[in-house]
Amino acid sequence: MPDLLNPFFSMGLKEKQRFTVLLSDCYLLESHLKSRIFTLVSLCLSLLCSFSLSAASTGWLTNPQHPPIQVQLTLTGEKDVSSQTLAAILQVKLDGDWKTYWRAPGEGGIAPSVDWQQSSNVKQVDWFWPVPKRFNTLGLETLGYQDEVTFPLQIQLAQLDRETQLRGKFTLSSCTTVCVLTDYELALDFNATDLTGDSNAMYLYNKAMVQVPQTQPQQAQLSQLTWDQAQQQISFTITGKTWDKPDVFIIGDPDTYFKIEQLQPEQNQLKGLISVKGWLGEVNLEQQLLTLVVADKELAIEVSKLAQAGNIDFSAFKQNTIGWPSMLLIALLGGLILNIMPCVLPVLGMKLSTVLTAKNQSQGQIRKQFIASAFGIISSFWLLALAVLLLKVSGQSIGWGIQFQQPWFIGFMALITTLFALNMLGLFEIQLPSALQTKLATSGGHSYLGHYVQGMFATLLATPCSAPFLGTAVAFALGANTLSLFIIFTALGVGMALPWLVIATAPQLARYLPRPGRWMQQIKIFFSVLLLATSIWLISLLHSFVGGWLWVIFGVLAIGLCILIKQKYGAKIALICISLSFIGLGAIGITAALTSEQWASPLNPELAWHMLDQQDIDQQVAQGKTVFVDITADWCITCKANKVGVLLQQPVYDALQQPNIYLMKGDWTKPAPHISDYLQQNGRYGVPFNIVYGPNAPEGIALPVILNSEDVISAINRASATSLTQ
Amino acid sequence: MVKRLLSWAKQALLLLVVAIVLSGAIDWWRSKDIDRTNLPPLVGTSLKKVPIDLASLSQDQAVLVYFWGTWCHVCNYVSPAVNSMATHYPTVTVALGSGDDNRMNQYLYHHQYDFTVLNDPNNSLVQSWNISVTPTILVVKNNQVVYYTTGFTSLPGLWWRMLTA
Repeated sequence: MPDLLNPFFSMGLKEKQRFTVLLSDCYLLESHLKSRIFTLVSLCLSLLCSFSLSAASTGWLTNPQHPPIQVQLTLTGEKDVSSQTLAAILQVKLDGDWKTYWRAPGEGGIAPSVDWQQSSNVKQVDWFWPVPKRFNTLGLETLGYQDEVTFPLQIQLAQLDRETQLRGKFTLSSCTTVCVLTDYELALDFNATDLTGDSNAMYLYNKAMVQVPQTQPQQAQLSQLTWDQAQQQISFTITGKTWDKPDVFIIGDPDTYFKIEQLQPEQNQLKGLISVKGWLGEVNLEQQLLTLVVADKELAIEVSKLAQAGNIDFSAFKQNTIGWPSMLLIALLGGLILNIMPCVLPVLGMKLSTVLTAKNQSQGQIRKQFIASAFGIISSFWLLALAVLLLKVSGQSIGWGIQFQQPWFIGFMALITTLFALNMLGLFEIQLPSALQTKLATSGGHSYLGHYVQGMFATLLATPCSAPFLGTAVAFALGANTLSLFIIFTALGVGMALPWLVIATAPQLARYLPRPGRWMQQIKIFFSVLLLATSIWLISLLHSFVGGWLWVIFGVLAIGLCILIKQKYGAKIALICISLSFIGLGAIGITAALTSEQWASPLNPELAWHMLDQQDIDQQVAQGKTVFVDITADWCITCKANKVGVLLQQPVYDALQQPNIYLMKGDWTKPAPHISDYLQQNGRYGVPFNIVYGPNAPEGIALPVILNSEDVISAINRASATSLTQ
Repeated sequence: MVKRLLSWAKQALLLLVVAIVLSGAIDWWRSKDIDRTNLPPLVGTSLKKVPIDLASLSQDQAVLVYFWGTWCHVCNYVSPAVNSMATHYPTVTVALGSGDDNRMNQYLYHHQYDFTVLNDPNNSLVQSWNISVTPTILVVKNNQVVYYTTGFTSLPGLWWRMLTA
C-alpha cells in the first residue's frame, strides 16, 4: 500500500514526529519513548498496527494542526449489486465546544465537503445529512453538530468486481470562538467483492440513516410556498400530518440565511413564516427550488417546491405573543411570589434580620435602608440578566438558577454566608480601610451598603427555583432581545423587592414591628445559626463536585469556628460551646429517632427512577405505559419540598408504584445540555419541572411548579390508558 | 474634584495595563508554535488587481495581516475593526476558502469593506503559513512577526498593536 504512506514521506520531520505520536495511540507504552531510535521503532510498530486494521476503514485520522478533531471513513461491507453501490460512514469526533456544520450552515459557517476527484473506479458518492442542531454563537445562529456526527455515504462504483482506489480530500470546517478549516486525506484501496460486513459500522450507518430526513409524499406535502419580494419573507404550508413540536430547516441558495419567524402546527398541517437575508445584495427567490426539512421527535421528512411570487397573508398567523403590559405584570407577580417559595428558606434569617433591626430608627433612615435592600435585590437580577446574556452570546445553554450548577458560585456563596453568620455572632468584624470607614461613617453609608449587599446576596441565594408566573416571564425574556431581557429581569427584581419598597414608601409600618430589647441579641444568635445552616447547606451542595473532600471542608469550618469562639470569649466558653453542641446534636438525634413515629408522617423509601431519555418516553408510551418525569436538582429546595411533601406521600407514592407507571428523572444539579434542551422544548427554563405522558396524552400533561396530590393523581389518570383504582 | 478625577484616571490606567499584559500573555501562548522570523512569502494580486508583496510592503513599516473567511462567524465581528484600521495603516487580508473573486467582490460590496483582499479559495496561499485558524491577525514589520493573535480582537486591541509595533 505505497499510497497510504506517501503523505507521510512528504512530511517535515516535526510533522513526522507528531504523526508518529498520533499513530501510536494503540501503544500506550510508546508515549514514554522519546529518543530518535525509539521513535523509529515505534513508527514501525505503529505502521504494523495500522496494517492490522481492517482494510475497509481509514482508522481515526487527525490533522496535526488541529488535534481536537478526528475523522474516520469506514465501509460497512454492505453492497447493492444491482446499483453497484457500497454503504459507508464518515465519522467526525469533535472535542469540547467544537462544532461542525450541516449542509445549510446557517448564519456563518461552511458545510463539510469531500473532493473525490482522485479516486478510480468510483462513479458517484452520495452524501446524507442527519438532522442538525441549532447553535447560537456570538448572537449568530448556526446549524450543525457537536461532540460527534456520522454521515452515511453511498458509493457507486463503475464496476463492482474491479479494484477500487477511493481517494477523498475531506475539507472540514469547525468553530468555537475561532474557526478552522482542515483537510484530511481519505484513502481506501479495496475490491468490493472481497469486502466482509462490519457489524458495528452497519449499526452506525443505520443509526445515522434514521436521522436523515426522508422524502415521504404520502406523509406530507409542501402544498404552498409563497415568496414575498417586498417583505423578503416566505410563507409555507405543509399538509398531510399533525406535528407535535416541529423544527424546520431550510435549504436554498448557500449565500442566503433563512430565519424561522413563526411555526404554527395545526390539525393535519404546519404553517410557517420565514424571513430571508442574503449578503449578495437583495434576494429574489421567485421560481427557486427550496427544500424544507421538518424534524419532530424521531421523524424527519424533506419536502421541496419552487417558490411562487405573491403576497403573504399575515392574518393567517396568530399573534401569539402576550402584550408588554401583561408580561410586565406577570414578571412582577413572579418576582413577588419568589418571596414565599421554599427556596427562600436558606436566606430567611438574612432577610428577617434586616427587617427587625429597622425599629427604633428615624423614618428617613428606615426608608433609605429598605430602598438600599430593594436596590440590592434589583441589582442581583441585573447581574443574573448579564450572566444570561453572556451565556447566550457564547452559545451556552441557558436557564433559571443555573448559577447553582457552578461549584465556584456555590463556594463563593458559602464563604459569604459563613462570614455573614460569624459577623452576626460578633466573632468577626469586617475591617474596612480606615479612610473608607470614616467616609462611610460621615455619610452614614455603611449601613446602607450593608443592606444593599445583603439584599443582593439574599436574592442570588434565593433564586435557584422556578415559581409560578416566573417561568412564563423568564421564557419570554430569554427568547427576546437584550433590552427586553433587562426590562423583564428588572420587573422580576422589582416584584421581589415589592415588600421592601412598600415599607420604604410607608416607613411608619415599621412601628408595628416588635419593640427592640434584649431579645434582639438572642434573635441575632438564632439568625446567625440559620445562616450557618445555609452555609452548611451550600457546602453540602458541593458534594457532587468535590466528593469526599466535603468532610474536610466541614472539619476546617468547625475547627475555625471553635478557634474564633475561643479568641473572642475565651477557652472556657469555647469548650462549653463545643460540648453543648455535641450534647445538643446528640440529644436532638436521639429524641428525633425515638419519637419520630409520633410526630413525623414516616417518609417512604425513595422510588426507583430511570434516567431521562426522550426516546425512551415515546417507547414506553407506545407500550401503553404512563411516564412520570421529574426534572430536579440538588440545590432546588422547591424540588425537595415537592418530593418530601407530595411524591413520597400517599396517595401519590402508591400511584407512582403501579406496574403501568414508568418513572423518569433528570438531574440538573450540574450543567446537562440534554436536560436544558428538554426543558426548553417544554417552554420551561428552570426546575422543578414535572410532566406526565401516557397513551391518552403523548404530548404530556405538564404539572404546576408546586405539586399537590390532586393534580398529580388527576394528571396520571388523564394520561393513562386505564384509570387508577384507588 | 480634580483629585477624584485623578484617582479615576489611575484606576482606568491600571485596568488598561492589566488588559494589555493579559492579552499579551494570551498572544504569546497562542503564537508559541509560530516561526516569527522566517516568514514564507505572501505574494499575489488583490481583488482590486493590485500586486501585493508583504516582504517589500512591510519594509520599515508595520503591516496588519488578517486571515479570515466569509464562512467564519467570529470574523463578522473582527472585519469591521480591520476595515477601520485599513483606512489608517497598511493592511493586507487573506480570505480563506471563501469562493471565487466574483462572490468575494459581492460580499465586500455588501458589507462595505474596503480593505485589500488576497483571495485564496483553495487555501493554497496559506498552506506555507501553517494558518488554518480564522480570524488570525498578525502585525508584520520588516518581514518579521511583531504581534500574533487569533479569535476576537477589538479595534483598540488592533490599534495598540499597530502603534507599538
